[in-house]
Amino acid sequence: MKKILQSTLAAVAGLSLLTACAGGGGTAEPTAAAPSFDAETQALITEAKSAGPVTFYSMIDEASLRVVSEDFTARYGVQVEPVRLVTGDLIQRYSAEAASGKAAADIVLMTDSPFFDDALANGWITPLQDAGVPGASGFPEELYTHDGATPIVSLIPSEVVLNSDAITAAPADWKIYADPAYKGKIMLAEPDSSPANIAFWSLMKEKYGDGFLQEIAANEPKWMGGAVPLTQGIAAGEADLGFPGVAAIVNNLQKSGAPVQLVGLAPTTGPEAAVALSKSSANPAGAKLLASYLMSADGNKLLNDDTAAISPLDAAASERFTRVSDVQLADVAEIRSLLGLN
Amino acid sequence: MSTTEAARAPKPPNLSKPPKLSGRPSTFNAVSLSIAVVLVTLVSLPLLKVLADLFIKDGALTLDPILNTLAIPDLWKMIGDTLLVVLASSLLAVVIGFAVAWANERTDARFGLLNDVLPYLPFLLPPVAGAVGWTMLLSPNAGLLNAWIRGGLGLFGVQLESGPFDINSWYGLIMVYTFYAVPYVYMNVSAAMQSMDSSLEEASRLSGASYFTTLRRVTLPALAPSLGAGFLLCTWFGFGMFSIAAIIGTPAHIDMIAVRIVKLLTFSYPPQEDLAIGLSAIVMLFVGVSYYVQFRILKNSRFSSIGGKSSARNITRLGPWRPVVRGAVMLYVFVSTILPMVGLFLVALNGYWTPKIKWDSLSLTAFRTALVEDSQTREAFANSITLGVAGGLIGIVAAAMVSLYVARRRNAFTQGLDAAIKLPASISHMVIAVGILLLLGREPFNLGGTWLILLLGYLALYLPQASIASDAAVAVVGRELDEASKVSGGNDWKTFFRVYIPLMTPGLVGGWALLFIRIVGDLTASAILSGTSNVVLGFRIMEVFNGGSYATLAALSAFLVLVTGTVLVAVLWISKRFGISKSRIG
Repeated sequence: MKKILQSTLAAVAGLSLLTACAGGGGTAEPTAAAPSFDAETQALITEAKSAGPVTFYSMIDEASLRVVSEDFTARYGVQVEPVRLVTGDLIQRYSAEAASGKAAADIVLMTDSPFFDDALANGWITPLQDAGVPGASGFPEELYTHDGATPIVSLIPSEVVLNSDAITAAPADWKIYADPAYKGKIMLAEPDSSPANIAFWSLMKEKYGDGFLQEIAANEPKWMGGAVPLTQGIAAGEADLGFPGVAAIVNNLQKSGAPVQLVGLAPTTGPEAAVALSKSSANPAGAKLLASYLMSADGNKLLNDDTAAISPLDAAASERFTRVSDVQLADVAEIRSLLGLN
Repeated sequence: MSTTEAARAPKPPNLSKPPKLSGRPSTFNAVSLSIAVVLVTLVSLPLLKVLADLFIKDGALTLDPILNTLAIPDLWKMIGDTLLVVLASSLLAVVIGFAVAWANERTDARFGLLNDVLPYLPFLLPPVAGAVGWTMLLSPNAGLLNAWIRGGLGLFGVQLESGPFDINSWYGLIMVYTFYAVPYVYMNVSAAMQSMDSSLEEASRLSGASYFTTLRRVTLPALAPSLGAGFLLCTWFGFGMFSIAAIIGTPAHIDMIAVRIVKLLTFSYPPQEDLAIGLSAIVMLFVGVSYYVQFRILKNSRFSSIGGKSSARNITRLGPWRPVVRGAVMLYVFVSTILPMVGLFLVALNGYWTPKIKWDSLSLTAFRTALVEDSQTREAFANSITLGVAGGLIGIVAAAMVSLYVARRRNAFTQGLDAAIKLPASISHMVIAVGILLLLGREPFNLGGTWLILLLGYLALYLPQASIASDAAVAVVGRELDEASKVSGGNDWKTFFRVYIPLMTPGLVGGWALLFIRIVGDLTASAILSGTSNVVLGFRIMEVFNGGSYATLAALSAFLVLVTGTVLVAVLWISKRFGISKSRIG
């Protein structure tokens, strides 16, 4: 009971404004069904179809989740029942359901975290590398985390968000946050509102030194509780410049005509989304097929294009992205202090 | 009236046997006790777990969570900030709630049914939408209201670059908390005023006491349980509120405990549970103090306001002050309710938040996106309204039975039961929702993804609020009516349905409205217990908020206010028309 509650207390409800991440919300047309499959895949398709829809839990933007699911269905003929929740809620829900002995989700796509270690230890998920997922053996070894249990299929970069009425020329580097011209015109999400933010500021500290963070503090940024109110504030003109920019939110606002823009800079870091298979669920064959699809060149490209994230299979695009495991993480209190918050 | 009917009971009392008074076993008591036990069981497991974790770690006794919590560097600032915001907003809410209730119930300044509904309106707007609405109005640079005021001042040659108001400030945060807290007070106080016998006030006035003395010596003591209940609900609301504190308080560097708890639980995996539990314990302590104050008020009061004799309410004629009082009430309603809704509505029509509203190209696109094109939202609306109506009814009747059971026997057991039912208000709703999923979602119940689990979750979370309302409703009914019914041969069920329910109707309708609004607008339990097979509105609202579209959120919220407001008007009208008037006969 203790373990179950520990893993389920990770929390959040409407509170998930602190953890919003990922997503683009495009409307890609489902690709035409592939004409033929190898025997292994065909057997999985037959088994998956007879087991009903694949229940797919994910934290990516709802519209993107739908696009990816529809494309998968068009290719394999297997229906998907997608459920979108932010990572905190997903962990809560998945833990509580898996602890009952039968997970409602066949497959989960969410931000990589030590949760997967607990899920493995509790027997909730099965190591994907050994699960007989078509194409899993060809997936780059360095993209597997938790001893081969979970492949990373998406890198979600932390970006600049700016009001395009106020700033017309895209910044060339991160130094813009320390530019005195923007004193009082910057909004930042509290550094401890997400682990990705701590990783980002640690990277900045590593690359540009403590002084850079202190110069940002001297610009008296307005600290916000999360990415949603921050992006809205930038779009409305409450401030000119913000961090972090989240693609799904910016894209939604742009569609409405708001003067807001996302700018990708190097170096950056951010959350990494991993796939996990439930050990005991209704449609394990469907889960394997969907995992295979998300790890394939086409499926992975669609997932990352539609969510405005970086495909880890795209070497050129991932060059500017520093994996969190490669960042020397600084202490939260130190980051807060350097940024003038303590 | 029911007492009259009870007096005409066909079977005359057998004087050789003493009448069956409260305290004896009966089916009514057994059912009341069962309801209380089920509710306590539903919430006690996760709560006990939280308490146990405070002292037990890896099977051994420990004080680490408490010591670690006390070692949080800015603990005292956080406690100070939280207490200041919660107490200031609760006190303001008591003053405003009392004043508006007085104007509406005891003077000729009332506007009729409209006045009964308007004070509830801030309640109808989910707090996350309310916080967003006020941010859009009063942000120093891009706030719509600020921009309009600057524009107006510009006409007189006063040029301001930003402001004049800043929602991200102490006054901004306390103001929004107060607006959300006032309905808790208004609901309880106006119900008590409707039921209160004004002859005591008249006697006081005839004896030469001034209005102020009468207010201090007669009216306020008589309303003490309702004011206490209102204050208690305000503090509970304040301590537990997350979204307003996160959206408005964080940029103002105001540290609220609720925000920190969520941060500790959500920042990373595994969550920093020991600190979150330690902070929850501090909140429980404060809530416990509030509860004790309310308990003392109820225990020490001698205020049975409805006697066995009929009473009529005396309406104070305000004379020349009537338009002033009316104006003040309308101004309050306009500022607290209409303004943020106008802000949300404008942003929904404009498509995104900006002070430069494009008046010539306003469109209903956001409404279409939120309501028409999204079949899941339509389904969620229908589901939430159904759950709200049914859950509210079941919840308030259950709360009334339990309140009556507790009020009739004030002993250690019933007090413990009462406290256990009210405890969820002090614990993170997330913990309770997860506890319920763990308890009922698996064998042998298997209720995961069903309506029943949502209903039970809502009841466990919101019954404490309903039970405060029903406690106050029970408290205004004098025991003499209960005993008269018993002496006349009425059993407990008959006494409950024919004496208590009619007299408690004003308070219970308020309690129902509270439950209905809370269930329809719930975000926490919905996020955990709702899914594709039982989708509800709270689930969709968080979805839209996390997706980052304030315009869609505004459209959804505006429609939610419209629907819940309509239901509320209908129910209050019906209760006025048939409930209270009926109970006053005789």
